[in-house]
Amino acid sequence: MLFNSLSFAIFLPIVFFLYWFMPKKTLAKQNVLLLASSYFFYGCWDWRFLFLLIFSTLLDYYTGLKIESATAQNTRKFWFWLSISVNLGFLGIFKYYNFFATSFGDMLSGIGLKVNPWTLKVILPVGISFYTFHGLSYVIDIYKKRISAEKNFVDYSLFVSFFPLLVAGPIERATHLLPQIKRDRKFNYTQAVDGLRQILWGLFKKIVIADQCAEIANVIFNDPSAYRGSTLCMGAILFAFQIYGDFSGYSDIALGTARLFGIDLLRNFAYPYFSRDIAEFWRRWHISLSTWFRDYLYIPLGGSKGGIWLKIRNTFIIFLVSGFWHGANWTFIIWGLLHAIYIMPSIIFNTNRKNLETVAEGKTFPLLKDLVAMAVTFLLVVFAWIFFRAESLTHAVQYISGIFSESLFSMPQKQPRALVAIIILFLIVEWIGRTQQYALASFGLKWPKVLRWTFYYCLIAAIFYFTGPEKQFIYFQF
Amino acid sequence: MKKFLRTLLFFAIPVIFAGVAFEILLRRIPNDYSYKSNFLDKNAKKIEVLFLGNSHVYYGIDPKFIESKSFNASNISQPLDYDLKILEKYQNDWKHLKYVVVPVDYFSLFTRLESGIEAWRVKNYDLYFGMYSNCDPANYFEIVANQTKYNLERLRKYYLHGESDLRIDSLGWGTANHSQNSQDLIESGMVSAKRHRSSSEKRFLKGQINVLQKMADFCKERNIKLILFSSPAYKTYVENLDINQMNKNKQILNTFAASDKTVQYYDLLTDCRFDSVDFYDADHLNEIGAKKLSGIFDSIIKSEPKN
Repeated sequence: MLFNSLSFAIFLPIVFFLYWFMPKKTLAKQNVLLLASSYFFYGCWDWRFLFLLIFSTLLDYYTGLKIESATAQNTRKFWFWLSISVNLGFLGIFKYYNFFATSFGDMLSGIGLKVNPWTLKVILPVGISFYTFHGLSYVIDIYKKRISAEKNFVDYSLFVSFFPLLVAGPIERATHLLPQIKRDRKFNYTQAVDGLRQILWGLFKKIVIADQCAEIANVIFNDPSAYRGSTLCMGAILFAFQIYGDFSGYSDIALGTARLFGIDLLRNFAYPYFSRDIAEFWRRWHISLSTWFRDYLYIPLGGSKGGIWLKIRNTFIIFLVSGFWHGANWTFIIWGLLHAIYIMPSIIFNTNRKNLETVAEGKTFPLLKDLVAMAVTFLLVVFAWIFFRAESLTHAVQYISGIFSESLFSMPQKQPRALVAIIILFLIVEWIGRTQQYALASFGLKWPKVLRWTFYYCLIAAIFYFTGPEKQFIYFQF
Repeated sequence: MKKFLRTLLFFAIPVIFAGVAFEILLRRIPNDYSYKSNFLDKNAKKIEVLFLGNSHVYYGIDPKFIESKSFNASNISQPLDYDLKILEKYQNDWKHLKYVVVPVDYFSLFTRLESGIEAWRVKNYDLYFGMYSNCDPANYFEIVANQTKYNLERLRKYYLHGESDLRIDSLGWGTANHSQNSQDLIESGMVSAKRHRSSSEKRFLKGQINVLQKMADFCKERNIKLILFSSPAYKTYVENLDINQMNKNKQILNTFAASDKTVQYYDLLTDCRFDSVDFYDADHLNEIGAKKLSGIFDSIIKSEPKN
């Protein structure tokens, strides 16, 4: 069940009404309803993977309790490593086994040994990377004594499986979500309206921006040899907007949906394409994943303490792991590596926390140097996206060599003027709302109701105009 | 909460109203499915020869060249399970039906409508034939099956210019593939063969063989002859087919026909009676080819001993 499907448009109001209007409403009943709805939501993809989700939930719940109750350090360690290895084991089997097997086979054939690696014919369970990371952070936090183990199984299961975040995040923390699950939730008009507004903006980003960019970007990426450098350059830029619209649109719908149930999820995006350097970009792109890697990998590895070489090593490790997290393909690893290289100057010269505040805060237009910095950062990010989007390294190299040719300075073969106009309007709205949680949060709030509603109807009309057969979200494959 | 619901309702009314109006207007546009469904509702009792199947029959069988009362109930991408659903839907109406002719092509046993790029067509059976495909609500609405800009174009054409979505004649034959605008046979052969190659291997095979068996049983119970055939195609299509998939298809059909005397199978895939002038593209006949193929079936039917 996709967020941009008719099924979800029916499912969500039903759950909403049952949730707020159930007879003799209690928190426990509400949580049971949300959990059942989440399992139904997940089961709509493939009910067989529900068993994996439930098993993973049971494992982390049980090991969490065991770690907390154990007095001996060895026992604590045993339960901790059991949980970590089983969680990562599942991820390894479903997501990475075939990659390692075929890479190993390729390596052997490189030295003249011909082998047919044994690969698995398995489908990647949707959301496995996300819910595994939920579970991992929970168990690590208990082991590090940052939190107590959750005793209530329903509450813990809901933390792992809450449907808005189940398949593509944001990657939640027990410290943030569990207290909300355990607290009585009162309906809040402002929060609910804000949630609907965020859903609307998310749908706009997905259907009007991402899906329309995808139509052109896919054609160009599918056959780069047929296009001039300028067209390929345009294709890469369109993919940058596609992936942003797709993933941040998904996150907006997830956050908005959760707010309808009185729950605030972690923010995942903060206008990343208005970043002035790569460090800022990573504070604004897929925030829940970046902070997860920071807290559970970078800092345990020593973080920025211990000298420049350790800092460089740790930075490379988290970017490579982050790339690998996205998928078992060398293209993702190179994508991560590129970002590690991009960020190096700011790590070495200790300028990675230079741009902490929002660009041109309190001003209408940015300074020229900020504008140049944003453009350079954007182009670096776009270059790295080529690897992210490419099917293979050969494909990426073919694409890039096509860009850097004489034809880069010719007219693109495709000129999607209407789409470019929509993207510019979209960027204007994002720019105006860049200090808010999401661009539409305060956009037009001071306008008369008639004008504001007309604007929302225009957004709905645009969504409706561009809508078509449901299109998957890119991050579902991760 | 009351304030929220009131505001939401007030805000949603124009959206819901527009959506409902759009849906109603779209459904009122005559199309192949609504025509064929209405035709069968009224005339199923009179039909003697029923042609079912995919675009190969849709464009390839012109019932006016069949002497017996016949109707082409095929549709583009219509798979075997939907052929069976049509048969079953009118099960009490086939009073005079003597022959059911169904193509079982290179891809027929390996694909399902719901899982391919043509899945949007499922709604046509739910909406216009009154069938039940599955619980996906998207299959019961016109507005979500296609891109809205395409739907707006349909509305514009019909309500402003009177052009409906009908692409068939009165007996269900698809009239769009005319010899005057034939496609490149080499290019289309490669493209179609690639498109028809099964990626799902044996995932649907068992189910579709089961459908064939049910169809044969259905016909046998009613003393109807089931004629299966492989549609004629141009050599550029045949040469690009996956040999394993093609052989598997033929082997299944030969075995199936051999095990059931009431079922006949004709392999016309490489039939030498068809030449380049008969094809619109490498796997679809034009009006010349359709006349020829219809004539072949007319001869087959005439040569059958009368009961």
